[in-house]
Amino acid sequence: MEELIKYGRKMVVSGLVDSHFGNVSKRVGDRMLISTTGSMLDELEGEIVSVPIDTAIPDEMDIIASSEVNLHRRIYDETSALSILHGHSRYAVALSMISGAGSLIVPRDSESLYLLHEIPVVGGGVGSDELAESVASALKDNKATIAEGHGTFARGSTVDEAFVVLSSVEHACCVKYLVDMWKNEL
Amino acid sequence: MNPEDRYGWCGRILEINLSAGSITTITPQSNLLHEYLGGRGLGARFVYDNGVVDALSEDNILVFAAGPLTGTPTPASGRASVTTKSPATGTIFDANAGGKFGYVLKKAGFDAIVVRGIAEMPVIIEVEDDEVDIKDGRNLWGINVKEATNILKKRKKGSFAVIGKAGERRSNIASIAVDGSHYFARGGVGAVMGSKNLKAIVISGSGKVQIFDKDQFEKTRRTIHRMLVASPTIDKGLKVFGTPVLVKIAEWMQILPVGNFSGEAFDASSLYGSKLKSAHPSKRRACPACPIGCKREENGGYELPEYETIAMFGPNLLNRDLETIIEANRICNDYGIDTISAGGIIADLGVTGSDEILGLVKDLGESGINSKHSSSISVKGLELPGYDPRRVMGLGFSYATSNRGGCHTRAYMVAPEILKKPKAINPLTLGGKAGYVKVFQDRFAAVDSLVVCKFAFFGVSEEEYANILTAVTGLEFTSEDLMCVGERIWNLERLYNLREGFTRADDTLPEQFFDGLSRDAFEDTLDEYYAIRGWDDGGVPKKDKLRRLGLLKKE
Repeated sequence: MEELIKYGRKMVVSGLVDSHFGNVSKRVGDRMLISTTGSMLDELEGEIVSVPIDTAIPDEMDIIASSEVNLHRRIYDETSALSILHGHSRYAVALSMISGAGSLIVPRDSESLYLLHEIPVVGGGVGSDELAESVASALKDNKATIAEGHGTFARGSTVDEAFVVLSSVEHACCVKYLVDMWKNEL
Repeated sequence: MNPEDRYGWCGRILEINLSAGSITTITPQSNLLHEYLGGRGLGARFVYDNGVVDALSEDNILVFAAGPLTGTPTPASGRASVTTKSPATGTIFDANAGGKFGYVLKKAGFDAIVVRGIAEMPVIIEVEDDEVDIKDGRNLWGINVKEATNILKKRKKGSFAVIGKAGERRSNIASIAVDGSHYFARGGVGAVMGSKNLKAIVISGSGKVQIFDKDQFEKTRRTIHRMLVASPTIDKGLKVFGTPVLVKIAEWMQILPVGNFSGEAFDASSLYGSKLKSAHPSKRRACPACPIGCKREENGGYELPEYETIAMFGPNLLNRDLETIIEANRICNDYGIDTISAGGIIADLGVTGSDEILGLVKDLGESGINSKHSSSISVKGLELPGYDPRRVMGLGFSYATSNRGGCHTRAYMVAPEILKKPKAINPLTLGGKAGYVKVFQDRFAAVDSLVVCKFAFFGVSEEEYANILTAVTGLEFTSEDLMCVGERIWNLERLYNLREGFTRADDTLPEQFFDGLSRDAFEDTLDEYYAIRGWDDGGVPKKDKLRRLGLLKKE
């Protein structure tokens, strides 16, 4: 729980999200810890709940968990991820809207290219099963994906690793946006 | 009927004087309906205009009222209210219940029934469209809710408002049962009915509520329905577990009322909604036009306890036995007593053993006027519901400023502070709560007058209900108009309570909560609240505020 609180705060401090625009989770066996709906990521003390991964087990805490709890479930169900960080990071959102769903964003900077290779942009309405399916599918082969017009989903084996991925995506998108602008390639 | 009130409203109010045995139909002024809508608002106007009375005297009135949306397929509109002077609090008091009563009242062609006087012997009021009769009710006197309702159901179809033995004996925690399974629960409204020797109201009707713009109505109805069923609070919570979904969340937030609000920790895992669901398979029951269906009924027709009952008979009594709570709920409902107040009173006696709890519940059902304890944890004489105000401070502030006493539904801060809807706000501070509570109090005064279920507002806002009210009535209503109606009602209720002698000193919480709450912060918030309301430092509405709300002339 402390890790989620720590990295939630770092997400805001680093400018990766504006306060409550995102959610964080960590898998613990057949359950996950996840931030509550509407919570501010830099103030997660007392705002993390435990819910089952299996959707067939109804749990009372679901109604105050992040509204994207089912998307997190889908990712944990279909991948080996142990932590997911989601943020409405500005450059990632902008670039996803420029590139469009179905495209791949290829980083221009060497570090991001080495770490991420490429970042798929996926489509689907916020909160929809379609988005959950496309994000989970993309994260089978990639460390991160961007939901078009919505934000980045980063996976990791630890919260710390997911944070590095989330930061890298935003760094990659920022650099690519600036370079593409300079080269009139946008 | 006034021609402009023929859509939504029936434009007719039934007035029955039990002392005189008279039955009359009155046509309300259009502005009364437009400015107060129905339900709680209409009731508040009638009760205020009835003057200063003793709650259990023949001068007190009971106003059963539906709203302009009741009887239409508007989602979550199947409710009714009853307003009176409360024998428990001495304040103006409206209680609100589901069931078919409001729906059938409108089908019978009435917006409200005003009951005055006292019958010489126990009676039943029977309404079947325009046929209204006061009948001998002596054969039902002394019979509790379930049996009395079943007897009436065999005689007539329709909806039934019935009191049990507690109401007959004028217990100030007596409720009025609707259709044997829903309750005008709080404030001793059942005692007022009992004091009038009125055992039951049986109502049936064959009419239809007229809708002004059917196309726009249907479009808005679909929008509201879609938003309701998409709300996680409703879809994953109320539909799956009913209101007991809150037990686990309240435990997690450490806001359960433990040991008569002593502030202790409590393991409530044996009382979770999921435990109740698995241990007691039940049917989902819904009020008319409701897609939520929050009520749970076991085989045999007994309703399972709501969150409040579990909280008050569980942690509040340091009781972890679910079966005791289910049985206490059954006894309370059958005698017709308010489970929140009953739990509060028994906690005040320090009772925690199962047998003793159930024995005392029966005693409360059998006892008369003096069933209440002055030392129970209350605001303005009404026992607090199942949320410790030390850790949900806006909710606590709404208890203190409630015009019907310790009640969670006046501002329904459960939504933002616990369920994080429409927006999550920090429950652990009083900062900003003066304005929040004021807005939510006004909002739900309007909602109670429509009369719509508060649970709908987990998924929609007053804007959608203003739109559908416009479609139904043909009169233009905006969300601001609804808020203004709510503020008018809130201020009228305040004027009633001030006339009864209530002062700023009554807008407070029991002393024990100021171990966790700052008294200074509380008083500062109260100052801010009064200022936001346009009231003076003593909590009296200023003339300018009353003038703007159209209340000045009538005072």
